[in-house]
Amino acid sequence: MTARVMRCAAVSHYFHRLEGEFPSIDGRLMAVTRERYRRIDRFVQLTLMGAAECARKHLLARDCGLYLSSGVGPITSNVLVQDAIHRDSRMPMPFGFVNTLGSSACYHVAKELDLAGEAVMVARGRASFSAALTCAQADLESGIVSQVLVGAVEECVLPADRHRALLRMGNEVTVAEGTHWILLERYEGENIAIQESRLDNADFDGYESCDAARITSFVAGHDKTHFGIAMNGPGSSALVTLG
Amino acid sequence: MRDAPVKWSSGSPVKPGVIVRGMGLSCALGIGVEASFRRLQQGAVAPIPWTISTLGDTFTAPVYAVPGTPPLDMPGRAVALIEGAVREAVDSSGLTQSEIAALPLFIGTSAFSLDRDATRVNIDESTAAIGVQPVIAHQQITLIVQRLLGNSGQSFAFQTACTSSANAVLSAARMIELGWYQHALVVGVELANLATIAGFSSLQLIAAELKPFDRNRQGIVLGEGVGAVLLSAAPRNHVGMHIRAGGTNIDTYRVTMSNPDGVTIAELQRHVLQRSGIDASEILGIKAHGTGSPMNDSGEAAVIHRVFSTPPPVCALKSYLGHTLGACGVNELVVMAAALRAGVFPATPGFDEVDPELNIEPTRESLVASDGLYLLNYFGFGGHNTVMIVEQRS
Repeated sequence: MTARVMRCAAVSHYFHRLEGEFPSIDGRLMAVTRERYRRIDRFVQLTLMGAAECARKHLLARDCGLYLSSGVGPITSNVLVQDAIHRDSRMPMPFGFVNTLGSSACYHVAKELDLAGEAVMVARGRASFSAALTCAQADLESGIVSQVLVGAVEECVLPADRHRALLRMGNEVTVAEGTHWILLERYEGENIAIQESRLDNADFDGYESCDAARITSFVAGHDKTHFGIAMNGPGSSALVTLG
Repeated sequence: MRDAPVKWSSGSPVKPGVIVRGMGLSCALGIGVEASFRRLQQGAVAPIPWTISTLGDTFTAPVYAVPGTPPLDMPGRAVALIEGAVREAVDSSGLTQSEIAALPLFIGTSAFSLDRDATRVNIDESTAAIGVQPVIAHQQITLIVQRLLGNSGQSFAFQTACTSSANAVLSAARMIELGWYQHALVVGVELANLATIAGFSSLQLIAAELKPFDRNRQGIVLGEGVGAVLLSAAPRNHVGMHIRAGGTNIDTYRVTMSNPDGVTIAELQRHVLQRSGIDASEILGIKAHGTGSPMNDSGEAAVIHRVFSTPPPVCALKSYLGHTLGACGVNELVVMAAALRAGVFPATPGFDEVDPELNIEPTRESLVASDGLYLLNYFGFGGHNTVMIVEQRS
């Protein structure tokens, strides 16, 4: 049967468990971006780095759709604004306030990658990436876009104890940050059965604290006409597939 | 879980139309769609002054608040506003309880995290026990709606600044057109809170008075509101308001504004018109984004002149509602639907004097509206631009 399915063209991943300081990602970010970014927060850094790594070896259509997902969003910028207002009794910094809008990260990705098409940020709690994929799939099937860049980005507030307290997590939970991206294209071809693949989750204990960043890997089918997303954590360890 | 593919008389799946089947609204005009429309016909609404003395120098910001409701910082206020608009939309749709329970939910809000002291959505500590994180706004809003409706459908929360709920409408309509769902509930939520007032004040964008496209416009005035629309698949000749087309793009001119030359938004409008087979001359009226900020209105005027050789009538609704940010997509859609249903194209309070640099004169008085196509504009921080074309059929 010939069907319109999606081809997985590229993937990128980064994750890191946190307890002390944020690890520097400056070098990794600079390696894949044209501009030298200042005054961007950690959430934007993670978004830019992941998206640019995913796209770097591919020619993106200018109307490539951009679908950013996050369960928690730019939580550090939000906490800074809340602290300014409620703890320090002062006005927030102007660009600190702008950074509380997670969709500002879409702007930076679009600028870096010369995108001018559909661009949305979508959330659904712990299933935010699935929500973004669904939106991307709808736009692909509608013919509105021929290519989509879909990402899941989660950041943390440090110290980790504060992150756990804000999100009502137990002290035993390890927090983590991550950015995971996939580039999909429309594809007219044979609809091939999904091959399930699972990864070794041993390295990701506690990563479920990071919601959408529980994604441990994207798994492309052997011919890249289909793909799956392996997720770690309770309630969502199943492979998510489209095709 | 998606619905079974929609099948029409031919027996094969076809692309259905999408109608606004139910509406709900709580905004500065009032509580309820009809009450809000009746108030709109009486003219401008006055914002209330909100004096803030806890952030250094005391300052007062005008806010278009929902009238007849508890004080802005009253616990439970936000929950009541959300529930009221959603209940009105669902009740007016005529859907069965089983259909309501399965509705996919599309939320649009500019807030990812809530102001912990003002909006008070997160006062219900019981939500933490079921895994909802209390500082995450979209999760709280989703839970409030789903709990009210006994709903367990899929949810999507859009966060694209001031285009959030407009994009939620377009995404829901797209999935209905694909036959994935027969119905969808879209809710736009934006509530008065200290963080938003302080943030926009820090950007020096707030004016004392909202004057869309006026020569003396000084900036925006924030508003609060909750709007809800229940969308359904329907034949294209069905009576009511149809979501005919729409699209979004991103403009990388500045993170806080689109290019004032209007090129990027004009490109989007032309693309949407072309894709939907609609000629610009068929557009009977434009609901402008019309924030009253100098640069936004300048850019929007440039767009109108680029796309329309003879611009149709233009109205702006924010001098009734305030700028309801991420909720304005649904709020202004509901107001337009109520007005067009009554054969009215609204006036634009606050506009007095044409700015010769813009050369746009929005409606000074309401006009008689005919059935047909109308264009709705929405723009936001992050370069998000969204346009929607609706069709009123009587």
